[in-house]
Amino acid sequence: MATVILEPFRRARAIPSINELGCLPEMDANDTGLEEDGKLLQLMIAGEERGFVSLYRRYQSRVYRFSLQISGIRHVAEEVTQETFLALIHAPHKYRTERGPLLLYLFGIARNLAWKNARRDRLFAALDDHRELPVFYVPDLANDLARKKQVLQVRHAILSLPRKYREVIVLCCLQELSYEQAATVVGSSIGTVRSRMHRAKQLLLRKLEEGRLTQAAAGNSSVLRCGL
Amino acid sequence: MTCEECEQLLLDSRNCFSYKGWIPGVSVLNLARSHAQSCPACTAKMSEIAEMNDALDQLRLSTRHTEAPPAVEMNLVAKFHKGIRARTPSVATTFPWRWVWGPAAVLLLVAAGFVLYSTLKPRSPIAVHTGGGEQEHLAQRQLSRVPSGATAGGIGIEDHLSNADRIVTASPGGDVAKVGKPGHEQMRRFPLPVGDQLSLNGGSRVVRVRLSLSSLVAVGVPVSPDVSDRRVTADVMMDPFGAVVAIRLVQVETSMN
Repeated sequence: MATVILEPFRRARAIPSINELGCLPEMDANDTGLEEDGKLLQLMIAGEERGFVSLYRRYQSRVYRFSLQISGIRHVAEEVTQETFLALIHAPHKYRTERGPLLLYLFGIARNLAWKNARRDRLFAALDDHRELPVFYVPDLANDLARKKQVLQVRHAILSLPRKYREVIVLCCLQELSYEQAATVVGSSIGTVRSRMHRAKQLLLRKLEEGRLTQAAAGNSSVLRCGL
Repeated sequence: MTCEECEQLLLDSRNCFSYKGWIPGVSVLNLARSHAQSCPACTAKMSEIAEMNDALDQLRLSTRHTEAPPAVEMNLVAKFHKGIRARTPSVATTFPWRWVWGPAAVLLLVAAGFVLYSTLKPRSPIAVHTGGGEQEHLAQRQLSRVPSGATAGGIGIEDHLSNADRIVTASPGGDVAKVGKPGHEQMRRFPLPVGDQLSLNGGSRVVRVRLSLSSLVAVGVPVSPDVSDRRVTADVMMDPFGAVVAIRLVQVETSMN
């Protein structure tokens, strides 16, 4: 029986890079991006509106999407986004470049605000029917109802996950951060993020299965009703 | 490979972008796939995982263009300007007041000390030269006769200068002082603006001093300007607080030298 090494090994040069594989993260976390962020931040601190506006336009969509994916409520996501950038306006000196890209810092603020909001309003205690799910625009799949339904199921399943699993799924799968970056945002070790990610996917699978079974049961009952 | 290991590998295999620089080995993935092909449960699991990963990708792509409403940006820009105005106030309000309080307190203390000193310091600049028991008794005896000659504005002193060579004369309200011939014993009264009966009753002491006649002006004795350069030996009576209440001229010298 062959011994299987479950630990991943270092990627060889011959293997195409992540960018080449087509799963390029949106965030530009290289040195140029950091330098540019630093310059824009300096401009913002100096009172230049263009510095702040550039930073906002650069990161607002990521922060807003992250908040929306965590909370599932549009107005909460708007509030969290606004508060996140307000925190940057009020205390720009708190951001340290050596801690990582500005986006991770903003994600950290947004995460704290989102959970604070959740504790305050107790909206995320259980997934209910009042949750507003964002309208998706999938041009090439506009008519694919099955896929739409599948996406909505995943969305519901993610929102029903416990907090610690939900945030790693959102950060790693939807925001395309690495484990290292996600660990920076969450404030834990890479190993913790890795194990949470594994557990989160297991839970997600189970919930999707449950959803499928529920739908099948509902379909059967409707068929029976129609038959009657 | 067990089914658990296979599931674990399949779950982690899609996290190619999740762990910078690390992906599961191709050979390991192939092993998992080969196991899944031979195991119906793992085949079903594999398809479920693939479906979930596909759905996650669809969800990620579908929200790719989601952005915050423009109202958020407008609010933030307005608050940014407000924050900038709050951070850069006018010059008048940025004056470093905290650096002013220290010197102001020091100045206040100095002024208070000066006022206190000027209030408590002795009012007569006359230096104490001598002081004696017999002379003090004499002065007290002489002063015991004072009430009869007291004036409304101050204290009158009857000065019997039996041993004085020169005699200073003065009128109570006048400002003329003349040096007379020796042997002319006269009653002289020097009304002084300082001192009162209460201070006399509270105890006093007499000291003998040598000073210029012009210095007597400082304690209220009217002295003619033409003899102000003379020096005089006088017994000075002071109240317990050091203020001069009476003077008795003992001897007037002819010149300063």
